Amino acid sequence: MTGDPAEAEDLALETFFRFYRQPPKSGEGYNPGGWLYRVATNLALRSIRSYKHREHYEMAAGKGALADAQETRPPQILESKEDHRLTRLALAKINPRRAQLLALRYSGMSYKDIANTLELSPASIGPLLLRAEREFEKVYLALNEEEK
Amino acid sequence: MNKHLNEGQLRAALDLELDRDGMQHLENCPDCRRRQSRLMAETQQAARGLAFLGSPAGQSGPDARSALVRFHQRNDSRKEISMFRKLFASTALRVGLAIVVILAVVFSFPQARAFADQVLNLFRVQQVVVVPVDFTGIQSLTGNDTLGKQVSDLIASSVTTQQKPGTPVTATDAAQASQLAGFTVRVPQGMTPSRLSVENAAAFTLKVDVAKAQALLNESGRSDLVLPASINGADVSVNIPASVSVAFGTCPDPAAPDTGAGLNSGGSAGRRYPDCVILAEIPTPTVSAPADLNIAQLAQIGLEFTGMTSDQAAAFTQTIDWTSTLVIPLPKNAATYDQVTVDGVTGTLIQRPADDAPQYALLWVKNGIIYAISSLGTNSQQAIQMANSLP
Repeated sequence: MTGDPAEAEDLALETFFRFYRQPPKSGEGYNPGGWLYRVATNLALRSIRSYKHREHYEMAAGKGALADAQETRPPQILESKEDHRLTRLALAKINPRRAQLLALRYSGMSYKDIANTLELSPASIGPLLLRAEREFEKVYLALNEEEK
Repeated sequence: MNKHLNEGQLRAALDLELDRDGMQHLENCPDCRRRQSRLMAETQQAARGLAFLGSPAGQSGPDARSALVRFHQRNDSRKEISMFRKLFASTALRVGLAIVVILAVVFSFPQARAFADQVLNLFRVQQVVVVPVDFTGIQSLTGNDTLGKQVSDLIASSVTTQQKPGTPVTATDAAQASQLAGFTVRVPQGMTPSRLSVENAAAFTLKVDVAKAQALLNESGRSDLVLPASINGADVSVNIPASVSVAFGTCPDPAAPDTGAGLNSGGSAGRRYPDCVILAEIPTPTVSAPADLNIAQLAQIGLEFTGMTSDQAAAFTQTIDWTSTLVIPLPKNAATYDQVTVDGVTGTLIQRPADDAPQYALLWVKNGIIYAISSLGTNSQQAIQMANSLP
C-alpha cells in the first residue's frame, strides 16, 4: 500500500507497538485483529497523505528502478510507477473510510473479515465497495487529467 | 430468488461473495448479468489501479523472529526517549523544560562573582558538554496530569515574553540572511542550500516562585530535593538572538505549523527526508540573573532530578564552568557521543544509532556563534566535512 517495503514494515511495527502500549479495551465487541487492521490501514493512509514531497521521492525511486532494472522495456517501468503513484494520491484524496475499505479489499481480505474489521455488516460491503470504487475512479481520472 | 439483484449484490458477486441464492439468480438472469458486465467495465480502472495493493508475487514480509527483535529494539529505544517526546508535546511544557535548563545554569553561578549592581550578565556559551542521564526513573511522570498542570501554571505565572520570534523568514542567499540575522552567516564552500531561513530574536523574563517550583518537585515524587528559599522572587532575563537555518536537500519547511511531533515523527522521517541536512547558526544567548542566587546546589538538584545520584551530580557539577558551558542531558542507551575536532575547535558529535530512525547532531561553538549540523541519517562524516569546509 505504501509502495515502500521498508516503510510498510515500519508501519506494521508501529501498529504492534501501539497495540502493546495502549491495547483496545476488552469486553463486548473486543476484536484485536480488527483493531490491528484498522490502525495499520489508517497509518498507511496517513503516511501516504503526509508525503507532500512524495512525487519527488517516487520520481527519484522510479529513476533508480530504471537504472537498476534489467528490464528491456524501460518506458513500461516508469508507466507502472506512475500508475501506482496516482493510485496512492487518489487514495489519499477520497473519503478516508472508503479508502480504508478499498485498501483492505484489494489487499485480499474477505468481506466477512472487512466487516469484522470496520464493524460493518457483511451485506453492506458490496454497496460500500462500489461507492468507494466510483469515487476512487473519479478522483483518479481527474488527477490523470491534471497531469497531462 | 426472483427479484433482480441490486448493484451492491452484483458487486459482491464479482468477488464471489454473494450468497448461494443470489449467485443462482445471476446465473439464470441475463438482465442481471448484463448489468454486472456494465458494472465491471465501470469499475475496471479502479480494479486495475488498486490491484498492486495485494502482496507482490515472490515478495514476502520479514520473518517473525527478526520483526520481534526490531519490536523490542524500538520499545527499548522509546522507553528512553518517550520522556523527551511527551515533554516537547506542548509549547508550555517546552518552555518549562527550557526554563528548568536555564535555571540549572543560572543558579550555578558562583556567589563570588557577585557584582555591585546585583546583576550578572555572564552566561555565554563557549563550549558544549553532554551528560548521559538515565530517564527511566521519571518516565512515570509523563502521564501525570496534575504535574502537567502545575508546570503550565508555574510558567503562566512566572514568565513574561518580551519578544516573540514569529514565523521564520526565507532569505535568498547568505548575504541577505546575514543582513536579516545581524551576524555573518557561513555556508559550506561548494554547497548550494535548498533553503535559508532566519528566525527573529526572542526574549523573556521569569520570576522564580519557590513554593510552586517545590510543589512541582514534590508532585514528581522528589520531595527529597529541596529548593533554597533564598531564590524566591529572583528575576532572570533571557535574550535569544536571531538564528539562521541553512538546509541542504529536501527538508521540512520551518514555517509550517508545528505538530509537536518534530522531524522524526513516526520513525519514518528518515526515509521521507533521506538527503536532508540542516546547519543551524545562532549567536550565544545571554542570561542575566541576580548575583546572590544560591547556588551550584541547584544545578545539582536539576541533575539529580534527571536521574543522577547525589554523588554523581555533585562530582559532575564541580567539573563544569557553568558560566560558559551549555550542558545537554542525553538519554543513556539511546544515543552515543564523541568529541571531534571541527572548524578548528573541539565539537561534540551525538549519534542515535537506532535502525528505524538513526540521527546525528554535530555541535560546536566558535567566535561566539553556536553551530549545529543535524540529519536523520548515519553519514555523520558528511557533517564533519561540511563543518571543515566553512569559510
